[in-house]
Amino acid sequence: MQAKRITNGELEGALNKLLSEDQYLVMGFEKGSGNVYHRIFKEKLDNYALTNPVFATNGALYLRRLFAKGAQIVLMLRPCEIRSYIELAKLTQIEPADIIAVSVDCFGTVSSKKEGDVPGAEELKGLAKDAEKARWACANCRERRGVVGDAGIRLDANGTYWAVSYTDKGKTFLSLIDGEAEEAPEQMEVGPGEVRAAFQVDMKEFAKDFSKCIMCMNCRDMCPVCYCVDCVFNGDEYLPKGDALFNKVFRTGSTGMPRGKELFHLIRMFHVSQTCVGCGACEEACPQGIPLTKYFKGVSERLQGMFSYMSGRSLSEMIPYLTFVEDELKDAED
Amino acid sequence: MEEKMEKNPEIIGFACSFCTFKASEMAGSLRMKYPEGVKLIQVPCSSRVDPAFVIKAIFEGADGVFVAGCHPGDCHFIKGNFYTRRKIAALKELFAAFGMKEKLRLFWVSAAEARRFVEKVTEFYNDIKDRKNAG
Repeated sequence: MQAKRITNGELEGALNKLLSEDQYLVMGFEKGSGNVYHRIFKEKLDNYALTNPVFATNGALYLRRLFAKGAQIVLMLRPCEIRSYIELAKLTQIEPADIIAVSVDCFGTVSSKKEGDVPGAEELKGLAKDAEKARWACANCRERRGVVGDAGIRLDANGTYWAVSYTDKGKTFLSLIDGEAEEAPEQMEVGPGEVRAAFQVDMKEFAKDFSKCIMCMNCRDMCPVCYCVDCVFNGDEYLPKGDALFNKVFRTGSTGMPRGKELFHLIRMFHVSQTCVGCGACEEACPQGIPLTKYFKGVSERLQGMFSYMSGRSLSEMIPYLTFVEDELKDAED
Repeated sequence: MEEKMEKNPEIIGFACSFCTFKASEMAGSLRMKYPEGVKLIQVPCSSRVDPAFVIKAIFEGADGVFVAGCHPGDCHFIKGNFYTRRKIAALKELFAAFGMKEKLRLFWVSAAEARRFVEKVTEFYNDIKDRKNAG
């Protein structure tokens, strides 16, 4: 694998070189006071951070409906964020032509809800294995390696960062980094994720877990791949309110409130099943602390497994529901 | 009354207007009987059925839901039912994950197969009815 060594400021140099031109923007992380946040940089990098140990939102959320021509945008984000971007590009919610997506090795993150200090660089490396500290989504992550998108920033076992390109756009990006390409070591700090057993739960446990739901729909709003402008849950068809609700109660009898919790989550689970990257942004947004990732990630991995698909793996792979093979699923019919 | 009341299930069926719905009409004109609890909803193509409809039907009180369309390759819109097959197979997998696989079925019934339609629907109805009365 040909890669460029990044030892001291080469990456910032390359990004600053790009930013000196007017049409370039860089989306990455900024060291703020106490925490690390997403930031879109213009003109020059300032307090730039390569990795972010705290997960608050998925950065692909801000890229929805990005069709600008002419502006060049470099994404320096986590693998799960780049994977969401790839899914959105496939769903024609982002025009990928002018975007260079660079995935940076992720060591796992802590929840932004959690009190306490942000883990330091050394602590960070073992974070994903530390189930106490890391978020559930990160401890069970399928792809923490920077191997998606146009280019990746990888960390080897000795603590050196390497820039690797995967596409032509990635090659252009790599050519801006000072130094010569050389052979990168095989052994990297972050290995491939583990394959988990097929998700199985019964309706009782499901109802119990979701009984706390207050139907604020923050999970839907913060989900990077739940992009429909006309969501089925807007309006009175699925979740009636006011007149529509009382008409329904007159017709069908007494009802508990808020109604439709299971309906809402099951339908959303199906709608994002092939595009869910399991980032856990829904759980982060939930004010009630419902273990949403367990369900959404579990179901999506099981349903993606049916079609040997993995969300966000590559731009050329079609989303299973949008394509078909004539000779398949012989046992689908009952 | 000593005798236990038998519970009758309600079944919602999404039927493609070009085949299964025609088959059900033919079954009617041939005076074939199928259970009263089966309510058909006509859809222009089986791929019009968003799995959200199926989930909604179940949470609004249906005991079982089936989606029925033309045999693969015979779709009026050329390839609609191939998409149906993928979507409903995935939905079945979702239901299997939640332990309610028996509530959903997918049939292929052409416009000429009135007898097959009645057989399939009756079999599904009886299965749901047995489950409902058992527990």
